[in-house]
Amino acid sequence: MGGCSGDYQALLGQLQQQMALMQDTSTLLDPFMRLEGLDKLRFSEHCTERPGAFPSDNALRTLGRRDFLRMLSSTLQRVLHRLAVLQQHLPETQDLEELGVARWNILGLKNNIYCMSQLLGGASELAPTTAAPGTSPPPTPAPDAFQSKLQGCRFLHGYHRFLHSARRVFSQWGSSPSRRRRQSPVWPQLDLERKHRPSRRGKRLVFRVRLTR
Amino acid sequence: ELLHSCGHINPPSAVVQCGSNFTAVCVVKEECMDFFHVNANYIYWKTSHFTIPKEQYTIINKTASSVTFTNIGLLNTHLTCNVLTFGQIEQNVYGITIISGFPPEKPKNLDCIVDEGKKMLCHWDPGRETHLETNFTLKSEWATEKFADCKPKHDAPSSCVLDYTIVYFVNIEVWVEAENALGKTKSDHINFDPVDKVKPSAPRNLSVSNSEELSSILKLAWSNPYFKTVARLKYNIQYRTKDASVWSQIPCEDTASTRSSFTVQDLKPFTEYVFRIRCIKADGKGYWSDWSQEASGITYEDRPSKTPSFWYKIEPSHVHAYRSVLLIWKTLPPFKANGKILDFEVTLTRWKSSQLQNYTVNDTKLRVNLTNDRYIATLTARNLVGRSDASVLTIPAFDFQGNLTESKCYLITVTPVYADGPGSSESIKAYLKQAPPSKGPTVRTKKVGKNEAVLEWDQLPVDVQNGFIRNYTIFYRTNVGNETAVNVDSSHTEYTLSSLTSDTLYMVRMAAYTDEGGKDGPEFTFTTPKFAQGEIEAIVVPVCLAFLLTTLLGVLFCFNKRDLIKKHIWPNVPDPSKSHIAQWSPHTPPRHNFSSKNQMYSDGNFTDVSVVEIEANVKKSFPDDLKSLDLFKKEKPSTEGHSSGIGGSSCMSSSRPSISSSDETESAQNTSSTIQYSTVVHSGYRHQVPSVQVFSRSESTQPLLDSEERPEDLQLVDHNADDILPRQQYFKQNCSQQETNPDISHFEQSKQVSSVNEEDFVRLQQQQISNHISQSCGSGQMKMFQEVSAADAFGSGTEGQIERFQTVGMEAAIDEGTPKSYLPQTVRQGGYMPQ
Repeated sequence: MGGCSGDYQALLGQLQQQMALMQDTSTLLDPFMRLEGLDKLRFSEHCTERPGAFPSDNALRTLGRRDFLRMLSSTLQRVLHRLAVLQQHLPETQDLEELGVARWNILGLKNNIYCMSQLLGGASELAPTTAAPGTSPPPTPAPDAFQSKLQGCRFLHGYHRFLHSARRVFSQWGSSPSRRRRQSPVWPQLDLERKHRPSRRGKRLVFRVRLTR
Repeated sequence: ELLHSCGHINPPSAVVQCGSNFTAVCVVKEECMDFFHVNANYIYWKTSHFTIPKEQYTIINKTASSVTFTNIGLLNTHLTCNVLTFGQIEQNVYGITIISGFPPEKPKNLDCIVDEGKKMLCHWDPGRETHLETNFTLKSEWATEKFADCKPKHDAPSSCVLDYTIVYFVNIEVWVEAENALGKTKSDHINFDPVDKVKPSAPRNLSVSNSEELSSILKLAWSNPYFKTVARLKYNIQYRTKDASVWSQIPCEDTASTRSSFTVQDLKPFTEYVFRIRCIKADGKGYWSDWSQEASGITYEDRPSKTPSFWYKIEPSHVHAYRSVLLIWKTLPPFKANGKILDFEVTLTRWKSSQLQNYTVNDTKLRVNLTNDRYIATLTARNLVGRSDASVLTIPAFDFQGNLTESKCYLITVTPVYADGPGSSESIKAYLKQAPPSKGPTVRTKKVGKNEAVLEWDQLPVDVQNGFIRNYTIFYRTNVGNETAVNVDSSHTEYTLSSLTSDTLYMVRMAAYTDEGGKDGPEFTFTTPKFAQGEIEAIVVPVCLAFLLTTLLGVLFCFNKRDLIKKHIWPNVPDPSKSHIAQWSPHTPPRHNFSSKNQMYSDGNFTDVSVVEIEANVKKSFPDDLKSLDLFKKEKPSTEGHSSGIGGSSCMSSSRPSISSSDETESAQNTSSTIQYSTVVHSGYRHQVPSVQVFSRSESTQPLLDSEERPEDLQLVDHNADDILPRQQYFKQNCSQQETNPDISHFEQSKQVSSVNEEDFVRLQQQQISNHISQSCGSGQMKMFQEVSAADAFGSGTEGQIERFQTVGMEAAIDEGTPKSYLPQTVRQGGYMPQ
C-alpha cells in the first residue's frame, strides 16, 4: 500500500482542506435536492439534520485526538453505506455524479484519517477498509418516496454539518503531533484516550452514532 | 510432411537479447539420414535464404549439427536447418523464428497531470526501444486503497489515463511496471497530492472595458475555473496592441492571488489592446492552464498630445492691399490624436492688433484673404476630450523688403514645404558685412592664487559683436614687466594665467577679434598673494604641534621627576598654619633608647616626638650657621624665662624650639596624645634674608614654610623686628590653640619628613647639633622626631642610609646627658634646610 506522508502539518492541512471542500453543500446536498425536486427555499425547514444522527459539535470537541479520529472514521464509514443506499433509491435514469464524487472524497478523507492515526500512533484501530465505491449496501425496505427524499436530505444536511464541526476541531489542533489535548473553552476535557484507550484485548470505545434513514 | 518429420531445431523458438550469443541445434532423424544417405555433415543452416558459413557449424554427432551466432545484432528472421539429399538436392528439415531485442529499461520521468474536469494522465519515459513487445502497467494506490492497473493504449504506450475519480488532498503513490520477453522492471514510485498536478481550465468569459475617467487603463474581468474553489490561483495576463505581434505581460507579483478582475494601467489613449489570461495554483505547483480566449478593448480618448504641423502659402491676389493665404496642416497620427479629431480651430491675429479671426475647419487647409500686414496664425486640433496645444505660425508682412545693414547679425531660417506640409526648418546666423566689435570684453578674476589667476569674462552681446568673434587675446603685465599676450578661443569664457609671481600687482585686459579687427576691453588689476592657500597653515600647524609636544614632554618630565624638582624648588617645609603647641611635661620620662636599634623601629608610637626646626639660609656656611646659632643664644635669656621645654608648662617659652630629652619619659608619655615639635625660623628661606627670627613650638605635622606663614604674622614680625614680645604672644596663642587640638597623627608627621633623603640625614645631624644647644628643652622629643624622620626618610631607602641614621641616633643618645642647645638644626653644606 502507498505510504502515508510523514509530514504532520501537510497532512493536517490536507484534512482541513478536504473538509472545507466537503462541508460545502454545493458538493452534495444542493445537487441532491435539485435532483430530487426539493426546492431549497420551501424545504429548508424540513431538510434539517435529525438530532443524534451525527455526533454533535460539542461531542467532537471533547474527544482526544485519537478518539476523534476513530469517531470520524467510523462515522464516515456509515456515511458511505448511507450514500450507497441513496444511490439505490435514485431513479435509474438519473445518476447523481456528485454522489460518486462525494464517496470518493469520503474514501480519501478516511485515508488521511488513517495516515493521521499512524502519525499519532493508533493506526491499527483504523485499518484500511476494502469497501470501494460502488459496494452495494444491504437491501433496505423502501419507505414512502417523499419521506425517503426528505430523509436523504436531512441526512446530507447532517453530513455537511458534521464535516463542518470536524473541520473546526482540526483547526484547533496544534502544530505538532504531540499528544497534548486540545483546550476546550466550554466543555471539560474528557480524556478518553487515557480512560478508554482501547487495549489490545479488544476493549474499544463504542460511539453511538445513529444514522437514520 | 516428410521433412517435417525428418528432424527439429532446439530451441523451437528464440527471443534473444542483442549482443548475446545464440546456438541452435538441428537434430535429424536417423531414418531420414538413411533414406537420403546423409549424415550431420550434410546439414547446413540458412537465415532468410542466406546460407550461414560452415565456420559457425559444429557437428555434434552423426545426426546433430549446431550453429552459433555471436554478438547478435537486431534480428527478426527465420533460421532453417537443411540437408543436401543425395548430395545435391536441398531439403528443408526444420525452421524457427529468431527475434532479438532488449529487456525493458527502468521507466523514467514518471509524472502525472490532472486536467481539470478530466481524469488524471500519467506519462513516463519508457527508455530505449526494446524491439520486442513490451507491456507497461501504471499502478496507483493510497495508503488505504489499491486502484486498478492502468494499461496504456497501443498508440500511446508511455502514458495512461487513470479512470477513477481523482481526489484532491489525498496523497497517491504511482509507479510504472514494464515487462517483455527478456525481463521486467519498474520505475521509481512517486507520491504526490493530485491537487499539485492540476492543470486548471482556462479562465472563461474574458472581457475588457475602458474608463471614461482614465484614458490609460482598461479593466479586465473573467470567470475563474472551478478549481478556484479547491485552491488559490495566480495568473498571467498578457496584452498587446492590436497590430503588434509581441505580447507584454503584467508583472507576476501583481497577479499572484485569486481574483476575477484586473485593471491594466499605463496604456496609450484611444488604442485597441488585445488581452489573454491563464492561471495556475497560487503556489506554482501544477501546470499553467491554457490561455483564455483573447479579448480586446480600446482605451478612452485623451486630448491630442501634439500640435499639428502648420504652414502657409501666399498666393497673389487681384484685390489691392489684400493677399490670399492658404493655411495648410497635417492630420495627427493616432498616437498623437489620442482620439478622433473632430475639427481644427484656426485663429488669425493681425500684428499689433487685438483683432482675432476664428475659423473652425474639418479639413486640413484654410484659405483666407489677409491684408498685407503681418499675422500670427494659431492652430489647434480638437477631439472628444479636449484641444491640443496651439501651433503658432507667423505670416510676414507683404512689404518686407529686407533692408539689411552691415555689421548686424541676422538669423536666416529656411523651412522646406512639401506637398503635404512644411518640414523641419534650419536656421543660420549671418552678417552682411562684419566689423570690429564696438566694445571689448570685460575681464575679471575668478580666483587668484600665489602663482596663478583664473580669469573670466562674459560673451559680448550680439549688438556689439559686429561680426563673428573669432578669438580673444588676453594681455597681462606687472608694473615693471613686459606685457604678455595670450590668445584664447572664442568659445571659452575663462582662462587660467599661470607662472605668476607671488605678491605682485598685475594688470590685465582683454580684446575680442572679429574677422575685421579687435577691440580692447577695460583694464583690470589684481595682486597675487604672498602665500599660497594653506601655506601658512602648513607652517603654523607643525610649529604649534612641536610646541605642544615639547610642553607635553616637559610636563611628563616634571611629573616623573617631581620629587627631584620638589626637592630643589619647593621642598617640604612646615606649614605654620597647621602648627600646634600642646601640653608639655618637662618630666616626661624618656621613652626611647637610641642605643637599641630594635627599639627605634619597633615602637610605632611617635606621638611623643617633638621637632625643632631651624629655618636657615642654605647658602650660609657652617660658621655662619654657628653665628646664627649665636643669635639664638643671645635671645635665649629673654626666652628661657618663659620656656620650660617643649610641651612644657609655658607656651611662652616655646619661642625657642626645643627637643625633649630622652630621659623625659614622663613627658613623652604625657604628650603621647599630641604631636609636638617646634619650628624655629631665624633666617630667610634659602636666598631670602630673614627679616626676623621666629621661634615657634608646635604640634603641627606640617613642615613649616615661612613664606606660607600668614601675612599678618609676617607683618607683625616685620614691624617689631626688635621686639620679641609680640612674637612670643603670637606663639602663645598658637600654643594655647595647640593645647586644645593635640591629636595630630604622628603618621602625618612621618610623612612630611619622608620626602627627605640624604639632605634629611644631614639635617638630622644638624638637629643633633641643635640638640646640644637645646638640651634643656625636651631633647627626648627631639630624638623621637629624629627616629621618625630617619625611619620614614630611609625606611624605603638603602640600608646604608639607615645605618647612618642609626649612627645619628647613637650620637643623640650619647649627647643626652650634656645639654648644649635646644635648637636642633639640620646641618647641610651651604646652609640650613627647613624640615
